[in-house]
Amino acid sequence: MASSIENNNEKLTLKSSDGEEFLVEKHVALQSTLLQNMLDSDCSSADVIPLPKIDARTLALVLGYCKKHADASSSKQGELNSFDSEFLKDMDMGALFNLVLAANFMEIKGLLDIAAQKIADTIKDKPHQEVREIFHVENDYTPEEEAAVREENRWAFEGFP
Amino acid sequence: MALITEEEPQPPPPQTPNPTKPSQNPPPPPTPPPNPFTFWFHFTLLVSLLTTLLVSLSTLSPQDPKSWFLSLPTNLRSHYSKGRTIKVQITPNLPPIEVFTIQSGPIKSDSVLFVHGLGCSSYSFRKTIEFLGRRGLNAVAIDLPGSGFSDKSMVVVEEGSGGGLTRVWEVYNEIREKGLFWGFDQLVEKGYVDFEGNDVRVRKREAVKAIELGSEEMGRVLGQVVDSMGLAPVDLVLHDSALGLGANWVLENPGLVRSITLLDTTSISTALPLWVLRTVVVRELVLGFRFVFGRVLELCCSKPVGGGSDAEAHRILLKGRDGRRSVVGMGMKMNCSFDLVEWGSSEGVKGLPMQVVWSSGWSKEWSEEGRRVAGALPRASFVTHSGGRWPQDDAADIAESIFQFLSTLPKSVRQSDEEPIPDHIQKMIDESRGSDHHRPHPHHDVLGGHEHDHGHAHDHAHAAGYMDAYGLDDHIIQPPSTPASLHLETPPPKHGSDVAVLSPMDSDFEALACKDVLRTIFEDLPLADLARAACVCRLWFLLASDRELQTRAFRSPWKLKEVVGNPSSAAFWRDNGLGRFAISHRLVRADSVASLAVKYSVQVMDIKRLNNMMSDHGIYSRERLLIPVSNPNLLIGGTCYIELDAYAKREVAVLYLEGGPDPKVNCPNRASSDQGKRRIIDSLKRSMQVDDGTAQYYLSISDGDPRAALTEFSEDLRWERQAGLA
Repeated sequence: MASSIENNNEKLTLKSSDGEEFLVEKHVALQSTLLQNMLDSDCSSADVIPLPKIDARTLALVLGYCKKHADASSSKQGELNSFDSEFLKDMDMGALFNLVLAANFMEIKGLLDIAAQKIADTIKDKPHQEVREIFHVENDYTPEEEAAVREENRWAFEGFP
Repeated sequence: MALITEEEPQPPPPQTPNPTKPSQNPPPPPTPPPNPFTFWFHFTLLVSLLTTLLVSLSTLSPQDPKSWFLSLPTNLRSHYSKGRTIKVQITPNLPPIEVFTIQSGPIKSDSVLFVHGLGCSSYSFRKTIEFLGRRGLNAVAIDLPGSGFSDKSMVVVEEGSGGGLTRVWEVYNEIREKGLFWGFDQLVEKGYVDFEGNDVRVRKREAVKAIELGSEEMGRVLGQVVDSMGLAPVDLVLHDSALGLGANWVLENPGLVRSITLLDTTSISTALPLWVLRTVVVRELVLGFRFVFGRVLELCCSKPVGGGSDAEAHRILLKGRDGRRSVVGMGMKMNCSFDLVEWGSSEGVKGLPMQVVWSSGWSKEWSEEGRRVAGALPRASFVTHSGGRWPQDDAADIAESIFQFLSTLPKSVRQSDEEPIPDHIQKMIDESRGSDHHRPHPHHDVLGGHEHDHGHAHDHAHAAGYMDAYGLDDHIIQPPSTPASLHLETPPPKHGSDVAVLSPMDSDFEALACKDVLRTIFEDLPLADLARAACVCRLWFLLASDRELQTRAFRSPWKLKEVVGNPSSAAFWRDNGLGRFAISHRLVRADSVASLAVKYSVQVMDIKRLNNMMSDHGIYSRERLLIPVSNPNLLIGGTCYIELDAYAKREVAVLYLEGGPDPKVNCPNRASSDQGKRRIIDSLKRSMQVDDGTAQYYLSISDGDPRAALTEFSEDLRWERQAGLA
């Protein structure tokens, strides 16, 4: 990745869904595979890159993550790990989902992994009814379908209501 | 067979024309030799027909409850989703069984309980209860255990009888499980055979038994349903054979019953002829083919209404989950000597208001029987209806006569402390009934939907408004559109009042609608959580059932690189305990089970168990042995192949260590380092089941060779045993 960076001082502008503009250094932006591909295909870094799916708050978080990882690239793995765990700590579900969506959209693998892991940890060891509640998922099963699916997976419900 | 016999009578061999003349030649052969092809042609045809018939019959009866539920037609599904199940204990000491009930109408009003006859189910009464529900009665229909959606079979632990064939079968099973030389092996290993533990275990076995209600169990079912739904005092409607089963309960609990309605009921026979369900080929034909069953129903039970979909529903209910066996079993238990006259005049029943509702246009004999029943119960009022012996879509007039009858009854004091309907309300309801029953209610025949019956609502807008005020109007009748809220066994998600239910599409959690993201999240879930996630909603089910995800969850705790191959059943992925994995060891001449146990740091017994070995000698006929994985680190980064081992007779994820150089595998035959020595001592300890010091001692006297140490040890052990015996 480092080879594709010609000029570290080059900046590009990202625009969030609610119109806020973020000025980022290129090597930070390159953490995102999406941005990297865009820059590779046409080098019009002067233009504003719109990110219509990501709001300002999330984008700020994402860029914070990218900056940390770009700056500390491969030197202090231990420090990065502790940063990652600190980064998502105390984040509410809504923000977490926005983050995971943004990471998926911008193709930032590291961020996607830790955010998904965090959400998965929330699902773990919970009955599915509670998961529905936490994630606001509507139950579109009919009762008998649900009973059937549950029966099929009965082995996984030991110790669950 | 008829086809064959047609061929059998062959022309008698023609006699020699003149018997008096001594024949010079041997008698000439039968002139036209019967063509053998004709016989074989018919024979083959017959055999192939029979085979096709048998094969098709056996495939026609799927018994898996889950697929059965999923294959239900929509009318049955909606019927099921409107009802709920109640747990009922019919036999003490056995787990309760589930009884399906369906309710309609305001709960706090008078309760009518419909009990169907053999072969029938609550499905027949769905229109009737809907009708009564609209009229302000709390109408309930149940599926008796063994019928409809209720449980039809239960698991019973039986003591092995030990007689003749059963015993042989048990021994055979035992041999299959443990191997032919099990006893011998054990004798060699332990010095004695553990017969006791073996014996006790074999004697008990579980059997799935069809539920067959006798009159006593029926009483328990009725009692518990009435109790748990708060129906007492109940207006009981007994249909068909339900009288024979329910009569005793009525006798014993007169306080719980307010009135009895007998609906085409007789104690002598059931509407659906039971021999049809009992006789071997007939039952497969009847239950297997929609058309045949429809015909049987038309002949015996109900007039052809409903375009056959109702007959189909009955057929599915009877056939599904082994319902036929229960029905037949119950039919056998029916009280045939039941005397209606005696019952009607007995103490408990004498005071009860009673009505007989009879099918008038069914058959002459049936009307005759109706008069006989009415004659046996002189105080009962006798009403006729136009339907068949099983109520069906045109059941409005049955409901109407029941309704009329019940409205003439004095108001009961409900046993529960629910608020009784005030008199003036009751009057309103009565009035609305009063003006209704002069005409035949063409618009009540259509009861399918749950929308307001506009003509009716208009006529009695006044009454309806009053009922509204007391919450008695239709809207308390659970609208079928929210079936989930009625189903007890699968409670709907409990949303807090402040949490709005959002579909994934328009929630803030847009991420959850994005399959990629959801997949990424699921990738981090262990197997059990993945399985539970499948129960959340359809989209999650789709994603969580993905094979890639499942194998990933299977691999991840062990950090396996890859799992190759497909298991015979998807259930393989469910368990990824260490026991699912095994190392393949290609046997060489010097190998013995004991040496392998030491080499791989596992127990001798574990190897033998995993490989289904009868004795140590079995090793020489095999090419390889499966070795249990004792050290999970071996799996890291490894590739496993899912294999069904011919000897082990089990499916395992096999790891080939020889396949690639693996620094972690060392051959600890000779201890080279301290760490290696430690490992050998540990495994010796485990193999010999001795303490550290003993293991060290044996290792030292055998010059660090673990195999020799073991030999030494077992020799000592043998000596000790002999000394002990002497």
